[in-house]
Parts: sequence; C-alpha cells; structure tokens
Amino acid sequence: MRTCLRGGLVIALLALVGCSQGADELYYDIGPDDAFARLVKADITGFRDARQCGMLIYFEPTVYDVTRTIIWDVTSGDRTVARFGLHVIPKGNGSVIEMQIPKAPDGKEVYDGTQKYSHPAFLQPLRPALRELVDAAMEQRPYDWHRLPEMGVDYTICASMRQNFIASGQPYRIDDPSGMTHEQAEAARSNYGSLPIERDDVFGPVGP
Amino acid sequence: MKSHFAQWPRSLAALALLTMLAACDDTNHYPTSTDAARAKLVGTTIPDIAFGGSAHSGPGEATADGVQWAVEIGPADGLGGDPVQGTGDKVMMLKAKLVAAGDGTDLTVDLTPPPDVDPAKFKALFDQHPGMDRMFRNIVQEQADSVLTNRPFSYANVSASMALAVLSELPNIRQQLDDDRKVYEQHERDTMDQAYDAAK
Repeated sequence: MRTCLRGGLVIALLALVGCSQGADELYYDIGPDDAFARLVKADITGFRDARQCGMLIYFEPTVYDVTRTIIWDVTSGDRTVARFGLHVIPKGNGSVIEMQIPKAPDGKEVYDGTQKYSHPAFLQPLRPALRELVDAAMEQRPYDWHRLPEMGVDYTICASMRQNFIASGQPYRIDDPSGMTHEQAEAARSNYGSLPIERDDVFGPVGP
Repeated sequence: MKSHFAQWPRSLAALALLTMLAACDDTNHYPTSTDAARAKLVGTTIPDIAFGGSAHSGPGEATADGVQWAVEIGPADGLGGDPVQGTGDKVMMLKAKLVAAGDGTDLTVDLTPPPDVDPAKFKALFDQHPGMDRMFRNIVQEQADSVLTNRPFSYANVSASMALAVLSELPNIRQQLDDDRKVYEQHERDTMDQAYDAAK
C-alpha cells in the first residue's frame, strides 16, 4: 500500500516536472480535504465550452489523493495538446490552490498568451481562465466566463476556428491543416491526396 | 459628490428634451376649414428620414375624421444590413384628427393599430415604450404642421423626441442585448454538446 502511494506521488511529481508554480496562488477558507473534493468535481465541461477552439478536446484527469493534486491531460485525436494541474496546499485553516502549468519550449508557460499554435486547444491566456475554474469549484457553481478579467478581443486562429465550429456545427480536426475547416480539408484531400499537417511543439524539455 | 456632478449633464439633457417636448401642445389650430386641411394632407407622405430608413409611410388617406398615414416596415433595418423580413407590412396608423373650431380647424394626432393587429397589444406596447409613442406623435404632428403651413418637413423639429425615445429605450436595448447574448451562448453549448455526442 505504502509502495503504491509512493508510486503515485512520484508519478504526480514527474508529470509536472518543469511546471512553473504561479506566484498568484489562490487562498480559500476551505479545509484542504474539502477543497480537494471540490476541485475533483470542478466544472471542466463548462471550462471546455467557454475556452475551447474549433476542434474537439478531451480532458483526462489523473487524481492523486496523497498529494491532493489533479492533473488534466488535454488530448485531441491521439495527441496531447495541453496539460495543467491543480494542487491543494494546506495553509492555516484553509487551502492554497496552486496552478501547475507546464513550460513551453521557450521557457514560458504553455498557453500563456504569447504562444503560437497551429492547432490550439483553447483560448489564451490559460492562467486567468484556470483561476475561474478554481473559483467556481470552490464556490460549487458552474464555470462562468463572464467572471474572467477583460482580455480584449481575440483575433487568433483559435477564435476564428471556434466561430467556424459554432457557425457550422462541424469541428475541425488535429489532422486537418491549420486554418482549414474539416470540410475544406476533406475537399483538399480528395483533390490532392494527403496534406502536410503542422505539428505543435507544445511542451518544453523536461528539466532536471 | 463627484458622482452627482457626473450625472448632471445627462440629467440636464433629459430635462431640456422634456421641456422642449412639453412645449409641443397636442392640439394645433389652423385658420383653414377641415375640408381644406384634409385636402392638403391627403396624398402627402412623411419623409423616410423620420423613420431612419427602418419604415416608411404610405400616402395620407382621407378618413371620416381626418387623415391617416400607414407606416410600413422598410426595406432595410436602418443599419445598411440585409432586407428585413416583413417588408411592406403595416405596423401602425398615424392619424391627424381634424375638428372644426371657430373659423378654423383643431388638429390632434393619434396612433392606432392596423386592422390585423390586436388593439390591446398595440396599446400595451406603447404604454411600455412612452418615448416611442411621443416620438411618433411628434412626427405626425410635424408632418401635418409642415404641410398646413406650407414649409418643408423639419427633421430638427422631431429630433428631440427621437433622442428622448432612444434614451428611454436604452434599458430595453440593454436587456435585448443580454437576451440575445444568452440565446447565443446556449446555441454555443448546444452545438458543442452535439459535436461531442456525435464523436462518441
């Protein structure tokens, strides 16, 4: 049993090696066990609907009870397009929720608002959007994007592909060329055969 | 204190508009017979500029007690967009009622529903939007006055009531935007749910 726990701990730590631990840690006057239970029930579907781009993405949580950590791997097709974690740290009578966001190849956080992706998973920046995920979980309410801080109009490919998705009802796929709707990609494939697909280097190298 | 000062310009503007409108008596007297007044008004049309391109009036038609103009939905929404559904449908009747008074005619204005619109609903609509009621009355009053005094229709004479109508409609406009936003957000969620369900 103890070996299993230790194994889980090691896996959790390994999964987040290279993650930056945000300075803007969130304190809640909620005990750590309760806070963790609320995070486990966080409205990840609401978060997804509010922030996703034009391709379907899937959140696969891994829950580490020992460290009170949840890590979500975000996938599309057979590729991991993002990852983030939330970690409960006891503090006084309450809890601090630490966001754990992996580093990008340039040393900054993934989806920090400056990253460029050909097939983005969600709107940037991630950190304030995650804060609302945590706030909503702690208040045991649905995710509410209206509570996000003003981030200006988003003119990225994410926003335009999201609009295409909503307008057509058809998501594009990670195996479609960047900027093409799935319908356009299928038409191009039928005319020209296989198409070159850009691949994003989302994560930086795992550090020591 | 600061916030009181900040509200002054808006309050003063609204007061000024109300004062200007209060000066517009609902009854105008003209030194002409009712028949002559009717004859001058029949066949005239209210300039489209009065409706901002969103509607236009048909020619004035003689009625038992005066003249009426049918207001129809215009070909555009006033914003340069696509043609509006229901173009040509009558939405209201603007009436100038003529009553012999002394050696002339008293003219009052009224808004009535077209035959296929429920009068109770029509009244309720304008009860909820008094600024719009005032604006349309002001428009027909200006139309009649300009014709009967042989001068062009003056947009300046109706712009105050238009401004007041817009001001009074701001809460409704805001509510409409909120409602539209909620509908769009629900559409977004439904679209996504369907796409995820289809991918299972």
